[in-house]
Amino acid sequence: MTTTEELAPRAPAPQPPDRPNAMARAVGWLTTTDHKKIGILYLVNSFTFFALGGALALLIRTQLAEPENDVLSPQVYNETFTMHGTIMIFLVILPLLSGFGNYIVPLQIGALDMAFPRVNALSFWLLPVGGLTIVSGYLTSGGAAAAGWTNYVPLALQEGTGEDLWVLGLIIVGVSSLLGAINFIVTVLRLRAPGMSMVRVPIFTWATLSTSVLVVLAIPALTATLLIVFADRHLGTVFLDPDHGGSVFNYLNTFWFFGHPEVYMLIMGSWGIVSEILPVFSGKPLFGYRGVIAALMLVLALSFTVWGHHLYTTGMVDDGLFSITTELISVPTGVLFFNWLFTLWRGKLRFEPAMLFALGMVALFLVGGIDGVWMASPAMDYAIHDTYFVVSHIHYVLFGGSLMGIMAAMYYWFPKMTGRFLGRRLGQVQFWLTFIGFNVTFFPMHNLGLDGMPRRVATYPADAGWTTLNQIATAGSYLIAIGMLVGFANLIISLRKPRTAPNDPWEGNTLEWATSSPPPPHNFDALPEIRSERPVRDQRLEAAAQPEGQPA
Amino acid sequence: MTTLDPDTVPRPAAANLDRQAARGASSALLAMILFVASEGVFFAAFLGIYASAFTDAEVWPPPEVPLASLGLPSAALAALVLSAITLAVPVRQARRGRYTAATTTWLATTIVFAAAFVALLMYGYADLGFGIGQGVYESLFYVINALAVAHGVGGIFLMALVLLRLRGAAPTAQREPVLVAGVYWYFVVAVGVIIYVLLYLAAS
Repeated sequence: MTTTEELAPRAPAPQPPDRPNAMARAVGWLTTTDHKKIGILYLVNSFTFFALGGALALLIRTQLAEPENDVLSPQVYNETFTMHGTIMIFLVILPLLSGFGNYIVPLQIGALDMAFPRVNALSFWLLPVGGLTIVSGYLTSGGAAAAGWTNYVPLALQEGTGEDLWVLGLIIVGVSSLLGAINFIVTVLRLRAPGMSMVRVPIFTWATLSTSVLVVLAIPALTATLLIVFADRHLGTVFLDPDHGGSVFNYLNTFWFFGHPEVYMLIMGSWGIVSEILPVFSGKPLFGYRGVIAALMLVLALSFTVWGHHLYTTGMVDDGLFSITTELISVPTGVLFFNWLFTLWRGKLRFEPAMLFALGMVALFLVGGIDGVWMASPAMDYAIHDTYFVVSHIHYVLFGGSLMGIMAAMYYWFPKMTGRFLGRRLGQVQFWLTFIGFNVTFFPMHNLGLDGMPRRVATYPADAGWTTLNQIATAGSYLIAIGMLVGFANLIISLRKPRTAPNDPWEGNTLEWATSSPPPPHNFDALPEIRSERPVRDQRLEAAAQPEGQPA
Repeated sequence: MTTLDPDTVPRPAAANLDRQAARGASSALLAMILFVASEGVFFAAFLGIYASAFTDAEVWPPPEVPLASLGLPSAALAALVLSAITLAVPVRQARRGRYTAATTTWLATTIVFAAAFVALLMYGYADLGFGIGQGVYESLFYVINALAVAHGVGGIFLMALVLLRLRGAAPTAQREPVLVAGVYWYFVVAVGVIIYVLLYLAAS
């Protein structure tokens, strides 16, 4: 106990109310190498871009609310959906998961920090630089990039300066992701606390590890793709020019070799989050902990074999082969669903906002997953390729899956990060507004797709019969926006409340709950013994078993 | 409940001490292996385009490309292979934890051979007899070679940094940097050999 007291942080000197050291605090944040502060910087940066990406989404839905609408010109519409997709995928979802990873992974494995704290700071600071480079396309005379987040050629070769800024910005963001991923892998493999074997590592950390492996092996393919586009635009190469023996397939194959593992980069973190939250709020262990790890590893391996399903309708890939590999990936994913459902089965469920969002994720990701199983069938895909059905699918996976998981993580870990609780009531309101708004927005897009409405069109004729469903979708999108505003209000209100969160407010399982909320700069004064994948629960049960046991 | 070893836990007063210096070094080798794996995929993307252009072509290299003479590229390859051989000495010494004056000498020799490789490749590159935009083969030739040269230059910088660090450093601090630079340079050597086979040997 003496050692613990010695190591305990001294109480900070009382600060005058006008905070004369605000400057010092700002410099502290700008120069920090503490993984927790960097994690929070990631979250702040990404949620800022989230507001921008969300505003662009509302613009898209406003334009599509009426047939032959002219809120946005076709060129501006193209810029809008391009930037919406780019921002949400590269500057919101992946960095949000990295932000939680940064904060939580070292805590979950009982480490003091990431393996390379200065590289970690660099990974973060490259993000706003790359993000602003992409967005700065709006300042050029030709406007922002407008070739879609997939940046298909020949469009990508015809665009103006905004496209170059897009390419450059994404290379910077890619370097950021790569450095971050290497840091995560080394941290998890090298810095685990004594007793924390790989089969005791929490699932969120496993998910971050497998995401990082995906980043290391897939991001370079994106960098190569971007380099090819840039070289064809400015250096005179002909990789993509069929007149000189080039081919669009040089783009498509390289891009989608990155692009399909990319979607697993965006979802695995959320799988990890849900696998942490469901057991805690069900009062039960995660069903089949090792099975979940095996499923993650299988998805990781299979994700590099399925890119061709994006190219079915080109007639240039073996549809049958890619159909088999794609359908195979639904097996480990299905395993995850059973793990989650059996975790809930006969549990004592507590419907805290974190749990609501986690359950919402399971429900919505299931719909997105089933859409995916359909589209993996070439016969089906030929009918719905490039329609709104695909738009519906990716939003069920990336919003319903990834973002609902991220929201769950926000409610779950906010007390750990700040010492304050996010409001329960407002959390429930945010959840229901988002959940209902989400389905109102994106479910009708299934029907729009089956009715033949193509994606990426700036408007549609009045007699196409798509008007009603589009209006419903637009109404839903405003509902989502209100939900997000409620969430933001909740955040602001909570940050003004006193710090009341104890070390372990949810009766958690993993090591981040063994330290104070928020944790001290060195993370842990003392670690519980690690004899299972749930050391904090072991400690809690032990303390309850001995009547005059010392308080932990 | 176990208490953390106070020696490994930075005290609050020292919490702002340079965390990197304290713990980064022992993990650098793993980080470099991961980085090289990523670089491998990067080059593989271009080799994939090479493969698809090769399988589509009836004549390879394309008939408009003048057949390359093998003299200069072979000399570059020889310099590269020699650099790999001379690097084996410091790498083996680093693995065994033994250091002699030979460590720095052999590392310096490696840098000289590496510089010769880059210089010869660039010299041959300057006068190819075909333009970058004539076809996919030509585009690949220029881009892959340029990437190899860039990685060669990066490797030279890395080894020079390690060489500077070895002077005056404690023997225990010498192990990791040499191994880390070694992993990177062996990757460049592998790339150089593949390029020689695909871009020069196949075109002669």
